[in-house]
Amino acid sequence: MTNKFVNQQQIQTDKQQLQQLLSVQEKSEIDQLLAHYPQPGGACIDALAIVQKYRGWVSDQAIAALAEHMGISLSELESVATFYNLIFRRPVGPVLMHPCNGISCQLLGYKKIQQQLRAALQIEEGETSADGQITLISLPCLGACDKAPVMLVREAISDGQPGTSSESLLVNLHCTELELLLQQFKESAL
Amino acid sequence: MSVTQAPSLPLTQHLNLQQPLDLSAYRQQGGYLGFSAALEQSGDAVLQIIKDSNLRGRGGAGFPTGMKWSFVPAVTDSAEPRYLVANADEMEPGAFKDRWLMEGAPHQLVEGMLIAAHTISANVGYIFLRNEYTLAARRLQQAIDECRSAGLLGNNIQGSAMCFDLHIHTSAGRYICGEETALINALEGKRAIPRAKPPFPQVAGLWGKPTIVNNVETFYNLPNIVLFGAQWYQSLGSHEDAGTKIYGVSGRVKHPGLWELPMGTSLREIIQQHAGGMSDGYQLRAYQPGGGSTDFLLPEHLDTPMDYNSIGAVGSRMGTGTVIVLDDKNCPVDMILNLVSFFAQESCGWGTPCREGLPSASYLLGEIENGRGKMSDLDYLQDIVQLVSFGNTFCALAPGAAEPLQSGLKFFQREFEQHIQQQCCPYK
Repeated sequence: MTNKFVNQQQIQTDKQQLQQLLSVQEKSEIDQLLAHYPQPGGACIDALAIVQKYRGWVSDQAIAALAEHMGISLSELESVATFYNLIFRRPVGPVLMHPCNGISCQLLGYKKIQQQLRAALQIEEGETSADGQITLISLPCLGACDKAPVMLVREAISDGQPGTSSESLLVNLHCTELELLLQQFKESAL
Repeated sequence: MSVTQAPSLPLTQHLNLQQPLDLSAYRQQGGYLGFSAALEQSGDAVLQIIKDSNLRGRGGAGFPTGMKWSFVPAVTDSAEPRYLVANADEMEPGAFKDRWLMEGAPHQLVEGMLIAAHTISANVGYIFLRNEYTLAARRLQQAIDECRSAGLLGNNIQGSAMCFDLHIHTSAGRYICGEETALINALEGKRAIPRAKPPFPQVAGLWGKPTIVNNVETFYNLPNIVLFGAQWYQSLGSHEDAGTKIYGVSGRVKHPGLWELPMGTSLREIIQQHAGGMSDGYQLRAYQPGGGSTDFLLPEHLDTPMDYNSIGAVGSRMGTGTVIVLDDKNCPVDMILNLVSFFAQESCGWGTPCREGLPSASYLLGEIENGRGKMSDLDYLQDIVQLVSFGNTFCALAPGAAEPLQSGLKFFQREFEQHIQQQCCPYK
């Protein structure tokens, strides 16, 4: 007879495997968060951000492991993970290019910039370049409208040290500057 | 030290974008004196000053701040948490004022929040910050750390009975987080969807406890109101509303930027004098006076004072006070398409008119812009405007999303018809 009842031992093994998926560092940071909140669900967004900080994105497995570790339901965590724009559910390259597609930047040339980036990287919006280095994700108004058109460039994985962020807001983008920038990224990747 | 001279630019007097003032420099220039003055008075007394000042919320709706605070119930159990939140989730298209203030004078936000916390007896505060505002995050964290070491945050602040600690919550990005009840859901780690009101957050907000959410710029007003009084504050405005305001202009103008000006400064002065007028070779076609969710106005409205009622009277909203200028070489239909697509993408999906109406509008605008429009599409767009208007939606953000479309259909009717008749965009 096939066992249609859930094997408790199997569940235990799965749980252990899931637990191992999260690093000691991730777990310790998440535990610190949990201590702050009256309910574990409160830490959802920050916990997802911690996982993303070390992995660049949040996989289905990582979500399952996180839900298990935090003691909340998978569906609760997944509903949060799929809601927010900046929780990435697909792999991204180590460098994220975020041209601003807000209205002030569009009035001053966003479309041309985005076209230029797509052509240079040979990808569409949301994709990662063939060498796996750069992911292109336009973001809504970056709140730097006096400097439009702008682009935010950041590293997908940070070392977690505050104040050492390598991100930069590039302003008044012109085609030549973009070409130079892409050249620099290609050289640094080699 | 004491300050006797009231500043002419109370919001930006300490602003330094290269290197913001640290705690000791901020104090040397009179920083935290407003908070000290508040702490010497009862919360009720401070509340009265804020009410008398006629300060109105700077997030867009313009609700009187003192009245908002007065709905917080009296303390019955001093151990019960009460929350104060700074809404720093600046995601309105074309708005960039809060970033400027936070990067340039982080201590003034902390001081404003301390005054509000004392007034409503809040013991925990959050700055709900946009993910992309990383420089502001670093500078605010530094200010918070300095205040903790100096006994300005924590228990028994400055030897008083006041206990208040402040944290930064970094948003994971969604426009709806700017709506205060959705923001509270996000702080609770949930999907950011708006809540039904009542109960209002002042009574049952974060974790079901009394909660006040104010915009960043609103807090920047508080220290000097407490120091120099309601009458002084009222005298700063040049028209109906009190105080000064951060106004901004972006688009094809000579000097896009931000300025602190008397409340009620005319749009003409803001666009032509401070922003230097249109760039060479461009004409002013229209503008949104208060960010992407406000109705378009035309050059004929330029003499309107930028305050809440005056802008309302000519058919738009003061919103965030950041003007987006449309020139004669950019396509108005394409501008509306950009805005409506943003709102469609950012709709949280909770309210049906918004979830269904905005993507339809975005699709139809795309068809028209790309030369596939029909005349009947214009009637359909008009229907969507009605569908997403006040009274039909769950939250206030949905009607805002329809505002540029509503006024665009009216002011740019000729352009819409041209697109459809010629089956192409005449601006390309």
